[in-house]
Amino acid sequence: MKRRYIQFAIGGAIIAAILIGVLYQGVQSTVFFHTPHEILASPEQFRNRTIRIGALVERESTAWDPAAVQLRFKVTEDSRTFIPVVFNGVKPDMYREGQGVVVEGQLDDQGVFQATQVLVKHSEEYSVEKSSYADKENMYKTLVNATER
Amino acid sequence: MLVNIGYAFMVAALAVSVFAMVAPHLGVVRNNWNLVASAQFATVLNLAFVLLASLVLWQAFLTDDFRVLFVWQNASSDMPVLYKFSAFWGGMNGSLLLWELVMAVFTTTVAYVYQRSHREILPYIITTMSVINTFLLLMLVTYANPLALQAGTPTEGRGLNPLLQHPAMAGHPPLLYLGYIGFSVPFAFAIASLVRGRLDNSWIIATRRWTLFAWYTLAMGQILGGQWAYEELGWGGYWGWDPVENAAFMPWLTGTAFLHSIMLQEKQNMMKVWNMVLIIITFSLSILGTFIVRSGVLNSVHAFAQSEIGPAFLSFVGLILAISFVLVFRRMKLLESRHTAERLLSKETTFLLNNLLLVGIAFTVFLGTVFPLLAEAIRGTKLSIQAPFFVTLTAPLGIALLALTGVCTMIAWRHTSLSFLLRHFRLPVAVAVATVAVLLALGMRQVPGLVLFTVCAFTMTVLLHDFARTVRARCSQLNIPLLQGMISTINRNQQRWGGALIHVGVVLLFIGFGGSFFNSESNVTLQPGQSAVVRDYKVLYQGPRQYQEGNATLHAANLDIFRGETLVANLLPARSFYPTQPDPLTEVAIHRTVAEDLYVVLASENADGTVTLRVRINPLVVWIWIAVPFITLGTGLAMLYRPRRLEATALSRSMGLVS
Repeated sequence: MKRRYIQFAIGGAIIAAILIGVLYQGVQSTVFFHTPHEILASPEQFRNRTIRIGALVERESTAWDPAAVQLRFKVTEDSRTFIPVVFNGVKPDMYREGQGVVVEGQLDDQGVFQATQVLVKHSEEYSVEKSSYADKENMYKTLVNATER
Repeated sequence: MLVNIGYAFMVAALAVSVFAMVAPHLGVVRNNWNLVASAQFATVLNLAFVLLASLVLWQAFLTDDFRVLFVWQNASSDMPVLYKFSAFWGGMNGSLLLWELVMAVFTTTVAYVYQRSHREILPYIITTMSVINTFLLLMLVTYANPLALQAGTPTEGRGLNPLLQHPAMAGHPPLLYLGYIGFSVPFAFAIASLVRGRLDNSWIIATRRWTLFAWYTLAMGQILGGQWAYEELGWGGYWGWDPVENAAFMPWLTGTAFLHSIMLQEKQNMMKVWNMVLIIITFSLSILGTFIVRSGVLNSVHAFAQSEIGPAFLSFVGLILAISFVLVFRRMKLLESRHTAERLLSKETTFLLNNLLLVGIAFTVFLGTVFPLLAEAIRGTKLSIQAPFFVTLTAPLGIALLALTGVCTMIAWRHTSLSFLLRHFRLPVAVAVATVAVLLALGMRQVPGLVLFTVCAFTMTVLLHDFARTVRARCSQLNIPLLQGMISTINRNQQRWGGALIHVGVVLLFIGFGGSFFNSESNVTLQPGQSAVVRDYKVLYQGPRQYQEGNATLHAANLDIFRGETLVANLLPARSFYPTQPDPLTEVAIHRTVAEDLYVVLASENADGTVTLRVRINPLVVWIWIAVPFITLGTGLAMLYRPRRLEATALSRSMGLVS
């Protein structure tokens, strides 16, 4: 009987460890993304911690410096208020002005977003349709699933 | 017209499959075997009709019949014949037809192969498999008709997504489907055994090869998918914990658990309930996987609600789970095992731990995949669970599993003494310690990498040592030379050594995975004639090159790769422009060695004549592909093994009730 208890104890411990891990990691890595509006409303709250912004790339805001391998652009929801973004990396495939991106990184003291990742919805569709975001409301939803590809 | 006839074939297939679903039950109730025999024949008809419908679709693809909506969506006349052929499963509707085609082949095979040996449960095996056929055909003739016509007569199709025009992508979906559908056989046997109350081990033993087959094809499908992602998508990795990938990974994990735990039932008569539960879950996850990938639920919960096929699939999974668990519950008394693991230090315990870990990983992946969908559906919040969640949780469990593989190899059934263990673990532990020392001396300071490679060394040593020890004993016992001793050892226990060979492959896989702890990436911008140094490599940009390949125009960067002063490779990373695509596609260039891949992406062609390259060094990736032949040979070997009890049970079963 004693052995059965030990077995149950080991099994139980593993299950408990997995559950605790899942909960802890779940809270850690479900990074919500915020909109430029939310951030501009109270920038102090977001400063110097890793966050994500989901927004559109403002038209004609992209500056690409090949020598420094640096990409600069502005994100917006309404083309009136902007957050400037700096990304030390190359333009992702499918990066388009006027389309949706999710940027991950930190907002610095100058109000510039230092991105460590730029995520663009990558087509994992099995058909060619739906490659443009006509529907703005839907865009945010599709972006949720964008992974760096 | 041919296409309409094709549709009629599907309707006819639906009708016979409904018959094959109902007739066996009536046969049992009325004690009339003729009804069961007619259901057997109905499965043949079903296969014939489905095959004809599939041929019609293939014919439409090969003759560029763009009046067929599905052909128009997935093909164009300029595509090579291979891709016209594989465009069949380039979209949802065709994929479902392929599912049903394979399912029909399996149903007919099972209906005839087991008519002597499993006469008593055969009627309900046919019924169960016909339920699945019926569901798929119902989808095919209603919401997902691949032979639907469109109004106009377009002269040109939209073409298969160029990303999918890759040999691995032609093979990847069929392999996954073979795996998913392969699990329907043990599932059908399980359900039939539950219905008939025949709950000995015969269903497990009879379906062992089917399970192995399904497990293997699912594994290969995923490895092929990884290869595709690595070479075609250009983000630098082969696995991104994308829901689409997780969907295939989950049934594979529970299927692996099942493959191990049925051995406990076969050898020790344990885990009867658990095995039932595992196969039910594995098959449900297979269906759920198809649902997740194909229903549009990933893009948005709303897209799912608007599609007709999503709710249908979800209801089907619910139905399977509900019926299965009611059956298990009803037969609970018969499923009670008399045996449990008696000793802590026994193979039984390691198998239990193995199952716990595998199901634990599957559960983690399931939560990470489904939770965002649920959160969006219920609360409307957008949240995302990314790779770090999966990696930090599954990596420790995976490494524990790998260590357990080594421990389990050494431990005997029933009981092993501690002193025996200590004696036999001396060598593997010594090798593991030596590995740590060497890695530390080489300057590796990353803890997860250190742990992983140490465990790899430990388990590999155990596996090789175990084989060497047994061969040596056999040689001296029979007084035969080494090679003969090896063959004789393997022949004596194909199950054991097949498993060992698969485990060697798994260790190699983990070595390949471990390389990703040391990936590095840098971006360089180069003018023609300029070079950059990336680690041990010198990348020299010779200049641009433009050329045609099929219907694509490629803009490539001509690169010479030097290692020291020697030229080791000429790489042409490119961007390819397709006439039907707004964006260019990335064509990765890879210089592969046993130690590492130099992975180069042409990230940008700049206005000033320079190019920006993304240069990655991905260590040890090739070991993932090296693992494939080991897993293949091991699976083949394990399939040769035939449990002895089968003949005895087959004999008693052939005097079954329904005659």
